[in-house]
Amino acid sequence: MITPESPSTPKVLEEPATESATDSRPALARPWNVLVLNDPITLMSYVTMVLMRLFGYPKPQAEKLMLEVHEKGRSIVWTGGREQAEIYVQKLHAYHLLAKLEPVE
Amino acid sequence: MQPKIVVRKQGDLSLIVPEPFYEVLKQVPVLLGSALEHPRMRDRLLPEPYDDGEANAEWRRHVSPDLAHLFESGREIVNSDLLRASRAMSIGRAWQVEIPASHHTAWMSSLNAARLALGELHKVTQEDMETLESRDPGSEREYAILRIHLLGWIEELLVTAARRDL
Repeated sequence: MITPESPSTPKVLEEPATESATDSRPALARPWNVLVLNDPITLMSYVTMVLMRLFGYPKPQAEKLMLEVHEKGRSIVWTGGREQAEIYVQKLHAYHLLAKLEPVE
Repeated sequence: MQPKIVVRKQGDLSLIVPEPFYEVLKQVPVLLGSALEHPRMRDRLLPEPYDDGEANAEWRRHVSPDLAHLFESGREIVNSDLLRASRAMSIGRAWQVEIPASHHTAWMSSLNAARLALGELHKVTQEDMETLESRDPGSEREYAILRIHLLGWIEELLVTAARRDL
């Protein structure tokens, strides 16, 4: 069973790798984005707290991502390997944040 | 009086709430007890993370059961703490709920889940949440929005306490 408060070391790719048409890397090796989507109910302070707890982000960075969720409807909060991305989404869901996974284009 | 939280030793919390807040809090485990049986609430509380049907089916098989178990554990924790609540005698018609530090996350997650469940059940929108005036006084929907705000007030106190440790 997962526990929401067990943090993992965050690995943020500043510029996610892009793939060309000839990219032969297997699907699992592609980077994946972890997205948080806006909802009208969840408190902004709660979103910030969860991002700080799960990813270890400092408050200013967590608040920036939270505001992006609030204003643009979604924010990429982490990019990296699929397995770790799934773990993060599972933890975000444990806190009931609306989180999704998408491969980096 | 307003709801308040006192941080004790080792991060344990004492939540002190007026009677109406306590009545709303007592409804949280009841609401969450049947939330996963309601399709819309279940879809929001256990969402699918992919745009791909097959990947979502795998997720439902391998991940959703763990999340549902965690959800139920949180509900039970909140329920047990509420059952042990006592009258805060010195503060009039108020109740005091002791929340051990190890229960803190379950409380925040469960309160958020209850607010989301109410929001899904009554199709509450951003506009509803930002509107101060009542559109349909006395309706079930207005009562749900009121409960979302009251629970949000308490959740905000819990989040503030949690952020002390970050």
